[in-house]
Amino acid sequence: MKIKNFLEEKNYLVLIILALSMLSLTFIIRMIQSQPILIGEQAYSNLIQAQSLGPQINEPYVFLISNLGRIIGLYAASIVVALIFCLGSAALLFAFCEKLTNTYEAWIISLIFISSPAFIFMFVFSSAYSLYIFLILLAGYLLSCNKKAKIAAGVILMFLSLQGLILLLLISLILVYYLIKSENKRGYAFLLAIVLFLGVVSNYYIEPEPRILLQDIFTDSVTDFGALLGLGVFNIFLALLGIFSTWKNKKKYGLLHGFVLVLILVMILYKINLSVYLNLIFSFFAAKGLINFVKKKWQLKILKELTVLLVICGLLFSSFSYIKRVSSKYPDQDTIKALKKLNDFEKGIVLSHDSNYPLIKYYTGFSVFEQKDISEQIFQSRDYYKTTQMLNSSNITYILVDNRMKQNLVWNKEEQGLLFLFRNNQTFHKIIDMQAVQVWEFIPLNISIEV
Amino acid sequence: MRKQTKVWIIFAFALFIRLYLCFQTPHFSDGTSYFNQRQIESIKSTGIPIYSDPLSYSGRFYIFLPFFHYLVAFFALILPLGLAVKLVPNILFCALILINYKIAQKITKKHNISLVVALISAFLPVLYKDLNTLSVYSLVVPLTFALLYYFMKITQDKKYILNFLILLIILAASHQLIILPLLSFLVYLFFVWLEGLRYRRIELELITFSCFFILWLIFIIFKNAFLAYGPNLIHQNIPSVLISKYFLEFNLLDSIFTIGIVPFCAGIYVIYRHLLREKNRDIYLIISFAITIFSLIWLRLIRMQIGLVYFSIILTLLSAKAFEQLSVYFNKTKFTKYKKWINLVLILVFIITAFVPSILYAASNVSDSFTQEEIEAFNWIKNNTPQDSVVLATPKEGHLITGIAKRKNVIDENFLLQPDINQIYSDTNSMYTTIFQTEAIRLLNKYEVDYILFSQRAKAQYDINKIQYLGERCFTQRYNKTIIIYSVDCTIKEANEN
Repeated sequence: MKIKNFLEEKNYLVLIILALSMLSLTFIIRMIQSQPILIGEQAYSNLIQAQSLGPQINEPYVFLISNLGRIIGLYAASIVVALIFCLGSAALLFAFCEKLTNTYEAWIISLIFISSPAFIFMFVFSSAYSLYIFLILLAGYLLSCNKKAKIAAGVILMFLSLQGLILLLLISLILVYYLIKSENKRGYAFLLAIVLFLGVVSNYYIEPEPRILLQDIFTDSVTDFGALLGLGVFNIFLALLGIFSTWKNKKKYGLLHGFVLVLILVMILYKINLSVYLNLIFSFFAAKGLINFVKKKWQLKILKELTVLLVICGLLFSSFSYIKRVSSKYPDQDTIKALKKLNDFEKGIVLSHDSNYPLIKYYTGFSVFEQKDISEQIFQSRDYYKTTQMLNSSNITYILVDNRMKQNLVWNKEEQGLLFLFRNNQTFHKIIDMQAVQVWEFIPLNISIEV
Repeated sequence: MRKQTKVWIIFAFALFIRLYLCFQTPHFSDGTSYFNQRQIESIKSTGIPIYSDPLSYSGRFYIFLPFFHYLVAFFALILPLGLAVKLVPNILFCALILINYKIAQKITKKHNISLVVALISAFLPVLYKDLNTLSVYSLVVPLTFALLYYFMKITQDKKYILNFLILLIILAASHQLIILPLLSFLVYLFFVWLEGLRYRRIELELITFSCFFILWLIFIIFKNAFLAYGPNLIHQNIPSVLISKYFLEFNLLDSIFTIGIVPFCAGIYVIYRHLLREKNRDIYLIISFAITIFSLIWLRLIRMQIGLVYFSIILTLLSAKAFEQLSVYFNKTKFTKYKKWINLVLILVFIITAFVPSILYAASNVSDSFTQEEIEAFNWIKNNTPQDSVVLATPKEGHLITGIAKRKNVIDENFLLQPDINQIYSDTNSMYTTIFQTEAIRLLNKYEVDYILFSQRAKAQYDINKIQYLGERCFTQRYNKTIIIYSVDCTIKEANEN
């Protein structure tokens, strides 16, 4: 009883502590392994933009990093901003669900949410998704409050509608939900019209929000199949059970069922990864599925207890498996050391895979060669003269090659393309040699042909 | 004679036939049997199977479920290994006769019809196609149907629930095909809903628990494989040129011949009747299995051979209902006075369509086994080559390199979690078929091959009579009987780059 009372009094504190524990696991593992804390090229891309950013409405996340970075440094700001939004999202989801259902259900939904791979992704990869999810939840919560709060929600939704068509779709779904459920239909209809107008018009002038594309819907949206941003298998399974158990109650849950269908259809038809948004609704239904289990009377009590235990183990397994996998993601310590060492050399243009460019720009300030078609030709060509000619005309000074590039990112065989030409150490001088990354300096030879 | 005695007679007869055919040769007919044998030997000597293997592909990790290997290893403690590895799989396959008898009795409640089903189960041609192998399926298939049987019985007595759970755990510890009964149970629930029948709570609870348990176990054990391959794990990283061989397209005539025309026709008739007219939960459960298996075969998500094994047993079980209905029908007609002649005709049909094909398949499988000369060659490698040698052989012979010769191989038939398998398969092909010595030596050096095994099987697989690039300078013939073994004496060195 004491624990129950404590939990009821200190809801938010306990939830935030749990969310923080979940989120910090990846960073703790990386720190133990002496790896850089920020993961993924998007985080470094944000840092580069933040370094040079003026106020830009379509990059609010980077804008916040840029401003906070003036106080605590950009690197720390990148982590802190993501953390604030993720913890805020967890707290808002709890508050919102507590209003819609009850404290017990809100707890289950929030716990499933904070242990989901998509939630961990938002923080670990320092992505703008954390801001969008935070604002969506804030708007949703405010819409269920008093009139002034609803106005604030309207402003937030109008701002979000400028961020791209995907967010416009989500906001429209939220407003349709309130339009149908609420008595003040006129107000919501008016807001929906403004939001749609702003969204459609801004789409012509503002670049869309960052999108992760799907090549294969299973492998790219299920984390247990290798996706970086996706849903866990157990989350999906529980959510399906929850949808099935609430299927008959169309009056209460029909719209949410519809939203799931719309999001999944968009994912399939347009091959855009919406897992981070789908995760919100799936956490809700997964909680419904789990609560359904617990509430039902089973003929065999032991079987029920074992099943609930398996479900919890399964959810945690998906999360910990994901955390372990992302903890070893690029970049690694070798890459950072190599880039810091590259700073000792003269400035020049660096050729590498696109995913390395944000890191190269951040750590060295060197220019990078961004013409993808020519890069591809250089990487795949074994013709010495053709390759050196292309390198010469592109003014490329350095070539950075890491293990990922050798393992299917660029090449999938030994001594394929440019790797074969590196044997010529008169033209390609290896200046940095780490276990995971090498840098070659291209020394153009003056070749003259005498007739 | 007691009713049970007749079933045991059928069991004993089938076991006798199987063992008689099996013991025509001391060796197996496929490479995977030698992999399984090696695991059993490891359990016998160290208590644990080999998961980190320094020999296969010159070093790799395995993922597999070891219960079958532990079971055979247990018997190998009492019996000689050579006897245990032949006896145990055949006893397990014959156990299917008893299980099917019980299931048929549950469905029809008639002893004579159940006996007929038991007899048909004893001589399903498809079960004799891999007679001379040490296969995990010898445990998995009977366990699956035992699971089915106990699922049918759970509403009668709670003790069957415990039996069901124990079998579920054993099956989950034996093979990833545990997913098959899981899918079938889900299809069964769908059927129950479709037919407007009420869900039995205990069935729902068991299926729910089974789903989560199996899902959790599969994702724990095959986590790395799922991360590497995603849902394509179903194809087990088989080289792309071989996938069509392993996951064959469904051929109706071939399937009818393999299954047996009587169970095929009778089973299809029962499916038709119960989908459109009659309602029977037990039959729906079996039909769910049938639909699941057929869908997996059709979509080429399961190997044809193993799919047909399940499908044939399911149709045999369903045919029990057909025989029951036929028997009732005949008793009402004038033909009842010709019952003895009809039974004689049916026995003749059975012998022609089931018994004889079974024996022929078995004989063919036995004749395809590794010969004494082949085994001698592998023993020669074991006794006459350095321990860290790498031997090139065909994928089918790969497990004999590791299992009998105890040497490293370049490739074998266990493809899962092996990176660049298409490249390795292609390189192995090249190492046998290329005409250019430089290219051959480059590849041989790449895989650090010390010996090349050139057998009749390699000749048949690569459609060659000799290895073209072999020359006296770089290759020395070390062994020449049915199999020829060459040593690789050359390496390619890079010219000075400066």
